[in-house]
Amino acid sequence: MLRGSSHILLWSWKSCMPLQKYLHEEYSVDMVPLWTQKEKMVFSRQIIMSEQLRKFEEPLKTDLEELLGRFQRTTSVRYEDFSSMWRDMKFGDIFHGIQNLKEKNAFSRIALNTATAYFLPPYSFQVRVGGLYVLYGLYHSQCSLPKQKIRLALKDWGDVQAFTQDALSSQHYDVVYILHKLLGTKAFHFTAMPVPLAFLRDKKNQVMPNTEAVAKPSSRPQQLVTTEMLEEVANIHQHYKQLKASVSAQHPEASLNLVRHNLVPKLFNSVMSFSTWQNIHTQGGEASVQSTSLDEPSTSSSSNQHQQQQECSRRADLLASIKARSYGQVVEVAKSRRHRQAELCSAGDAGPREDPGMGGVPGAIPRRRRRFHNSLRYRTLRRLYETGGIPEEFLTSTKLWRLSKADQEETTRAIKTRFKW
Amino acid sequence: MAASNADGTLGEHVPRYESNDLNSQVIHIGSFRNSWLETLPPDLYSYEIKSEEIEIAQLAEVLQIPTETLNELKDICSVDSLKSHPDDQPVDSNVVPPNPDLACLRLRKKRQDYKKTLVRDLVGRHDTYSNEMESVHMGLMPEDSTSVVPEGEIILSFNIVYPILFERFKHVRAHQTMQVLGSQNLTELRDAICCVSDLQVFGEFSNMPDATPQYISKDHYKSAFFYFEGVFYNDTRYPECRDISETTREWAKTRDFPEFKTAKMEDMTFYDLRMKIGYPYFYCHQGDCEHVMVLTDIRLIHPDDCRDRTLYPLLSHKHRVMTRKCCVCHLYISRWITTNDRLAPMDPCLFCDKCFRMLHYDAQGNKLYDFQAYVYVDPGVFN
Repeated sequence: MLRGSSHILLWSWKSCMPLQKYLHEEYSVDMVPLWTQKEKMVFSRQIIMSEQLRKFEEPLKTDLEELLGRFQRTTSVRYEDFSSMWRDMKFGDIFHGIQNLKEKNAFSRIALNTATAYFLPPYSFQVRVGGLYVLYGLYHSQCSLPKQKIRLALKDWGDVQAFTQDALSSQHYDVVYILHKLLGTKAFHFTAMPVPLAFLRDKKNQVMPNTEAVAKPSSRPQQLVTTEMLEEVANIHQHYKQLKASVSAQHPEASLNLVRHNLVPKLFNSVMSFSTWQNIHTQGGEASVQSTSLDEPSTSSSSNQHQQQQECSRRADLLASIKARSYGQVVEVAKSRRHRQAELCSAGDAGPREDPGMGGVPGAIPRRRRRFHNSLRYRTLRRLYETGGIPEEFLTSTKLWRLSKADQEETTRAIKTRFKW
Repeated sequence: MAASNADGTLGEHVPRYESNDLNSQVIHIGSFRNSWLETLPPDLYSYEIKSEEIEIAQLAEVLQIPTETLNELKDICSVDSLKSHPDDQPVDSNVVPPNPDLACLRLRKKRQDYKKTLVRDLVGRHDTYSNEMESVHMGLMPEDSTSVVPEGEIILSFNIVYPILFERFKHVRAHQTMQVLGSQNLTELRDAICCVSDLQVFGEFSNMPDATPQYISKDHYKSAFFYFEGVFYNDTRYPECRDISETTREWAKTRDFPEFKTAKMEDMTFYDLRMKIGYPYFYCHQGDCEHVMVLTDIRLIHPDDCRDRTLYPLLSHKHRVMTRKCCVCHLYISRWITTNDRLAPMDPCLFCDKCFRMLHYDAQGNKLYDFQAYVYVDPGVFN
């Protein structure tokens, strides 16, 4: 078979794999042929596992803080007190209820990682002792196999050493004993970073706090155009005019008027109008004392603002009513297109419809609303159908194993109730 | 009076978070290992577990208390103190206890109650064996003692991602997770990465379906490189290997990027590398098959890890891919892909071997009509 080998060598692997072009990221996910739908399902199952476990982070924190809070209230660092509390709360049962070994391991990892935070600074000594006891308890009550280890980063090792020294010097022997026992049973992984990092940006948890209400409105123009600045500009302007007059003695030429005559008053006026506009548009009336270092009387401006506010709201109301009237009326289309009457739907309805039988567009496929938004493919097909470009059959996908089916048959999709945490 | 954790007092080889809190700063792996080995007493990272008497004797020295107090301590702090149920009443740990107080248990009970309402609770067959890969290698000792991993060795975990990744699925666990020893060469990691593009076979075979050539892309295109922190590590073991990072480097020079260096892959071990933890890096082979790699974790070896040196780089997690079946029988995994085929329901179309021959060739093996056929290697071949 080496006969054709030189010819074959010239081919790149890409030309032999036409499928790959569909899988490139440039193409939308839904232009991929049908058989990758299953792949999507497999991926989504994996997402479910790690998302499931993320739901446990909050309850874990609650439970740990409950336990450590109780321990702190006793103001003792004795292990006996801690263990009686542990037994009382039956904390060891926190690992119960998982059937899958992989999930057991993952949950143990999360629990140990969360608890390690309490063992390290900046918590107080008592909380750290409580954290150590919690780690001991969690390590020995876990049901996972192999036993998941406590991660200790290099930067925290120094703190642990110092902690041990403190405990030893204060004769808290049970603390030191427990720590030595943990080290002896090889319960620690000596790592670089406290948590394995995979460059996963947590988009959901980073909720940007809504700072609009409390943010100071920008005052840059006012900062730029201050009284001193205006005086300086007026001076320079004066000098400039004098220079120009001295240069062209007889008659000043019109073409040399490159600068406005009333530059300084105009600057002042524009900044003032900007600041009044800002004050109208910020919520509450406190902005009326914005950083205008110009000492203009602002008493008249406040009443002005009020009037302006009223005007603005009246205008807004007017606009809103006009819009509502226009969108509220549905234009009747010509009789020739009566099969495609326009419909009035409210704003909430603008998204995908849940079930097809609601008098909406026939052939609409029930879509899961929350998880995935309607794909570009579906939206394009819908739009084309609505504008009359494609027949109805194009909306549903042809199942390969049902290439021929009776005309009246319809397969209704069973809507599964999914479990929501 | 704990030692302050301010950056100024930490040594330069101690990994810390960078400002974005997603990855660490650049660390030199060899010096990181040395820092740990210097501060840890050797018995903490050794493989053997000390017997009780030795432990008690050592503790008595450290604590400087009489043995009766120590025995008392032992009793109080024993593991039995953590048990919430007495030994003679075994509790099923797969079931949530009734009336739970803890928030985690309440959450789990919700799921348990939901599952009880289901008529059929199907357990996926992948879930039964999902932990198998990790449990098989637990504490595995080799048969001959020369290939035991020594104590104090570093294990690095790399996440290798799919070459083509949908934006939506970036949060899924990676395609493969490999564990590598610090003393191994980069070439060993390169050989261990399994990618389906390595197995591609060239050529259009509609005229000679029985005559697939024996060589695959892995044997043809042997060049590959890793990119870590501004250095391209090229594979130069074979004479056919070329420096494929050259194009990137030349392009970078024209665009005001800093100068990139090159090095040989086979000369470098992981101890010599400088990398960031948790930061995406790059592996390219076959000319344009690119994988993103993330170093997720570096740690000292533990008695529970696999101690057989020959098994490293170890695959600790592999994402199972759904294999694509033949479009005719939906039973067998497809091996052929055809285009310009007028009898196929779509273009391109996948066939398994049997269906392919039945549809396109007659009993004597003559091609029945005009089409083009290529060999298809399914990405699920590594399952």
